[in-house]
Amino acid sequence: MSPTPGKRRRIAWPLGTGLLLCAAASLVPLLFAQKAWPPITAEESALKDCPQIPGAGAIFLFREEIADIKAGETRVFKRLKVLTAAGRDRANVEIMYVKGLYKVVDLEARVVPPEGVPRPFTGQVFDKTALLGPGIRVAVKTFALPDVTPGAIIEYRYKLVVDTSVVKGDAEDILDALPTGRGKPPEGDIGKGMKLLSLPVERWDIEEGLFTRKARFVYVPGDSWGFILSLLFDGRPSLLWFSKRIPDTHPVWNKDRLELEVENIPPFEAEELMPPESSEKMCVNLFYFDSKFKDPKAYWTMECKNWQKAAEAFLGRPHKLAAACGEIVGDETDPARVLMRLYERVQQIRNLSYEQDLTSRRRKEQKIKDNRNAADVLERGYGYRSDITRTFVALARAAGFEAEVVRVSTRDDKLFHNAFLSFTGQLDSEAALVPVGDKTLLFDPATPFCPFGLVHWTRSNAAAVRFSEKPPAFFTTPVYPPELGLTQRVAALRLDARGSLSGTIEATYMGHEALIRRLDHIHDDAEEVRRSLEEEMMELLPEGSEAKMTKLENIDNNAPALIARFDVVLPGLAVETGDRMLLPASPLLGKRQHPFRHAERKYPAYFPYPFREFNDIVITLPDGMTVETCPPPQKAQDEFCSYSLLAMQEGPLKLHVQRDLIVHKSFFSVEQYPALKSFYDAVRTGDTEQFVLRALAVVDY
Amino acid sequence: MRGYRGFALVVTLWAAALFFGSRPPAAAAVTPPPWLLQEARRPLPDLPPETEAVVLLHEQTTAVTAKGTLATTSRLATRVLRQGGADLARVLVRAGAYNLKVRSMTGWVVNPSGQPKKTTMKQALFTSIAPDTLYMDAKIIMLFAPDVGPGSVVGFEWEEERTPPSLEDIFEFQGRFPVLRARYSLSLPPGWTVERHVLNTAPLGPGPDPADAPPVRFELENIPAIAQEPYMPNELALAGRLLVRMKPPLPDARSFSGWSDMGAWYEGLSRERRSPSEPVAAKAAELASRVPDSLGKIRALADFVQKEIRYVSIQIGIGGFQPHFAASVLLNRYGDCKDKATLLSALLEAVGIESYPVIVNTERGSVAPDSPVSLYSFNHAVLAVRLPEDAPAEGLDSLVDHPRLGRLIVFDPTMPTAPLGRLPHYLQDNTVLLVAEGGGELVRLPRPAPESNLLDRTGRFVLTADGDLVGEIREVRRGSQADSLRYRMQAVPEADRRKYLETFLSDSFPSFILRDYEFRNLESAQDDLVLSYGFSAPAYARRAGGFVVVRPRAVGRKAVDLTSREKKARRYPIDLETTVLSRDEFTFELPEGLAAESLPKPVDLDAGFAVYRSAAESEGRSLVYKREYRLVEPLLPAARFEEALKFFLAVGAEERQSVLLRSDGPRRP
Repeated sequence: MSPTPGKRRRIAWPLGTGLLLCAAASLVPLLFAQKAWPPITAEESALKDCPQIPGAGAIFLFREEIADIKAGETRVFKRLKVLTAAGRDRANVEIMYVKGLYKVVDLEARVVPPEGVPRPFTGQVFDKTALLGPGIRVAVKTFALPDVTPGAIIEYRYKLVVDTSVVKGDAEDILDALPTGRGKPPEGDIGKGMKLLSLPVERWDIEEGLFTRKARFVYVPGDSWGFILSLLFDGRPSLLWFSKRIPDTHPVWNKDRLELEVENIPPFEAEELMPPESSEKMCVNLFYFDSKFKDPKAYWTMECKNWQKAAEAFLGRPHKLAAACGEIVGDETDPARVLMRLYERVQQIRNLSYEQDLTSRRRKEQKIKDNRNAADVLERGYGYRSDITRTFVALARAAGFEAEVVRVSTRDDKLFHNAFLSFTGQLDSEAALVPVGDKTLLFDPATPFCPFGLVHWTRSNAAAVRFSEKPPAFFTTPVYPPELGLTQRVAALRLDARGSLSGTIEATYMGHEALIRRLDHIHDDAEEVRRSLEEEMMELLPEGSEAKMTKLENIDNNAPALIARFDVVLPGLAVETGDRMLLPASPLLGKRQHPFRHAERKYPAYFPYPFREFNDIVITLPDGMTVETCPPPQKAQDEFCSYSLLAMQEGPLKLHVQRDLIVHKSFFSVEQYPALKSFYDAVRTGDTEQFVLRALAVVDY
Repeated sequence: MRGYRGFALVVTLWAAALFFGSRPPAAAAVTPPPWLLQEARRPLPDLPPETEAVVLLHEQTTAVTAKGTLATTSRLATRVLRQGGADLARVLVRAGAYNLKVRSMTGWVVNPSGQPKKTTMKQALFTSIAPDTLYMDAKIIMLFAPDVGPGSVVGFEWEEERTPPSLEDIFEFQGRFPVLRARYSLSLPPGWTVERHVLNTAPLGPGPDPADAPPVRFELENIPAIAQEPYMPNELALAGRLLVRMKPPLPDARSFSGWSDMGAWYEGLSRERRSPSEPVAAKAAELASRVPDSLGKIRALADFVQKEIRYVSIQIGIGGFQPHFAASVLLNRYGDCKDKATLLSALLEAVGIESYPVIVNTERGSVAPDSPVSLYSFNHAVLAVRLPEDAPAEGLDSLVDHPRLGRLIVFDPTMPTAPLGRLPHYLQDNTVLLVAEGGGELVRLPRPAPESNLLDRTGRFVLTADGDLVGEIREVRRGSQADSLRYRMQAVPEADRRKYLETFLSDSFPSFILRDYEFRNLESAQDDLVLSYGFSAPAYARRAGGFVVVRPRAVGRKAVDLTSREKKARRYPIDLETTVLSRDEFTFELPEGLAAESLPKPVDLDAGFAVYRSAAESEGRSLVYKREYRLVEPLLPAARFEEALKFFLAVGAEERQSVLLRSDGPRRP
């Protein structure tokens, strides 16, 4: 969840710790009585390898986390076995905690050697500062267990209890100065009228860095916490859970506690081109929600109703913007063009979401106020993303369109799950839905440089909800065709007698490809843009090549195409073999690693959007050189992807190559991976084709 | 009940307040100091368009007390020209330690429009997180200036006080941005003398006349930024800096006249820690008893420390320099580099073998044979073991013949894959400090012959009629060619070893299936690492008209990309890390009906620092490709850049060559 602008920024501490904080106001943590370590089984002692991950350095034999809100503490126990020398590093233990929220107490550890008596840890536990600043203290309890060898079992346990000490200072002082980076632009305030209907309280991360044979998670609700929540909700709160990707099991209520036991959990290991990690990691989210909702549908209906009320209040009555609308539209009558004028106007509004260093202090200095409605936005000339989207919708309504704001789940960092009841956490963005003629189109005016009729890829093919239907209806936003993810490179190159190519390459980026580059460089000056695009081109060229950008068009507007031209030199690309010269038909392969090199894959393959890469290359040969053979046409095709390479001779000294790669969809399941890999293997194979030329003279290196 | 509900609500709101933070104080008017305002008005010279920021002034003023405490006041003013410069220019990073106190840090920002801003140490961030360090009591302090962007002038001023173990002061005047003015001054108590060294840049003017009374002044103008070039040495080896050594009138162990003094200092710090206690002696006896010969004993003890003592770095107080006692390292079975060297020394002493600490900098080039003595030149510790008279020296690449100490084997107990007798790549051809005989001296470690860093690949393949390649490759690796791969593969499970090979093969084959593979001697660092893998590569040979095109270099690239985007004259040496000998022999059994029509010309490149030879020949029904790449001088001066560039471009071209086979068979679709 991105910070809400206009409100003070806060550090996003895990909310479960907040519960501990409040519970401690009225509860005293139980005294922790020394207790025996759980017995080690013969099987655990005998374990020498991890059958599921041969060669693993260490594995968790057992992990347990008990969030006992009732007692005001979280109890953690970890037992792991070192299997190889590399696994001994696990004997260096680090426990992070946040001062002022909770502290680590009752820390105990021991080593059980392969043969011998268990040795309690009696060494020093260091308290290391991870981050200390005004209003912030993140620390790490760290220690090194001595004399750990392969075969040893390490175990440690500790409690996290509420820390009522105060960390001095105002975190805002430092937050204002830190580089803001280029994270997700804040969407903006939703508006008045939203009520607390669900509250996440705990998250169980099932996967850790090692294979886990067995793990147990427990949540013990606190009576007083439920009572506090009943003040916040209209009705009685219920504790619900939402789990992701946990095989064959789910949390169960055991008297007063919610428990989950899992076995044989592999470590999470990211793969290239995979869906958002959060969607693939095993986890359980616990949250309270208002129990007057009987099912998720009722929850979403109520959240949407509240949201719609807030949004409609912002949009205001159409007639109030009639004058402004009239000024913008002028005498245009064609509906599509009217809408485009409104779109262009709204895209000129100063977009605060994309101002990199707009700290809260800068807002105050510039006297930037929160917009209450669309009229404010137009009058003041600035707004956050949601302000701008709503202003577009308001203007469209004033022009007579039945426009509405829709709420979208951006899919760059998550995928939507209906059962996870978190409105702003899941539906974190807005877009505009407008019927134009016989079509209903989606618009993204709040994304700078976004062409009319396109939305940022994170909002395409994404879960969304519209409120004009009763009850609100979920739908999937459009998938755009590969032509709106086009990268086209037109090259005019000349081959010399030494086998070097030189000439120009003009790269044209359309749709998503143009938009992501524009946004990548929104804060960059011309020099940085040039450097970055030249580096991108160099990645396509062989070692030793040069690329110098000579033209750039439409980097900072919403024209359909972004165009960059380069002068390039590819030295020694064509190599002699005897009295012939071999020239690669596809010179724009360069140094980049192709995806899908591995035979197996754990996670689906996930391209951001369907795309097309089209290279059109003309090569002029030196006088006297002849073409002995041209590569045969190459083709690969499956249900969702296609590739072709056509290499021809057009005239005595002219070669022409057209390479076309199209991927029609973005998500490929694990079951589809073998076919996808096979397709890409065929692409790479086709790209290795070469012309055979009759060289003019022998070339010495 | 109502009161209770109200109380609970208050508690909830209190908790919420912590999340949402408190109101910031009203900003007071800020007046930057005159020196910063003056710098902000300074006009800029012409600078390259890619310059991100320029340091207007970097000033350091140090005052030394009679007790040898150094109080330093520093100033830094930077004008940000482009957004990329803002991120670096906006932060000041210092470190506080047991003997170094940061008294104050203050930052200002002067923007073309808007009020100046100020930040102080109260807004600083502190951390004790450092790479490869479990715990250290030193704190890194970061002060961020707010609202920094293109056009901003950022100024920092800070004061430090330290009592260093070595009476020296360093002024680092060269970094990522060009510097218009760098100024250093030093004031000393009466009777103190000083010597000045300017490192990594041509000295400007003579050093201070010894007859002159201090203070020392040093000023440089228009210092270029450190450029980023491919395969350049570490910045520590390149950055210009001033080293000032101070000497009080009376003898002081902290005043190093030369490397011998520093060696003596380290000996004083560490000698006691190397003494073998009873448990250490018992362990040494146990390990040595298994081996009859002296070299074997040394190897057994070295092996134990390298493999059985895991790396853990805990630095408290002077613990950044002083090792822990050998006995505690043995008991805990962990320690950092100097701990491991200390334990090994103690074990060796227990069995009558002498050894000497060796202090190194893993960034080769940071210390040169003529470098002035400085405590802060090093970042690692190893050991030199005296080879007994009866021990053979064959095959010991890390052997140093010392005129007084005799034959010394330099050994790094921290690097788990470099066994006794072999130097890891960062020690090869490096200049190190040998601590011996109550003093120290700089010693150059050997550069091993390329044969010691060997990669031999032999591949036998069958080319099918369909153009598929089926075969197996066997690699024999030694030295640095084995060390890094061994280190990586030891730490990962089996699935990741397969992925490593798949990634490697994908560099050479558009499509392939890895059938099987085996790593041999992965755990035995003293033996060659042998890797075998079998695979098939569909459609490896491509038809082109009447020809079949086959690239004879099946796998492996030797070409190094030295090109950079900026077309400027090379400034820095080229560091290719280690000597290498790499030999490939690939034999392709051709199908019936195919014979070589055109073979690439043999390539014979000899650039002096490296040699590259290759040839593809027909031998009956086989096509045999052989090549050899021998790198004898891994560190080249900048003046040889064009030569190196041309060499590697030619290597790259050769690696792309293909053989044309003539086929009379039916065409493949």
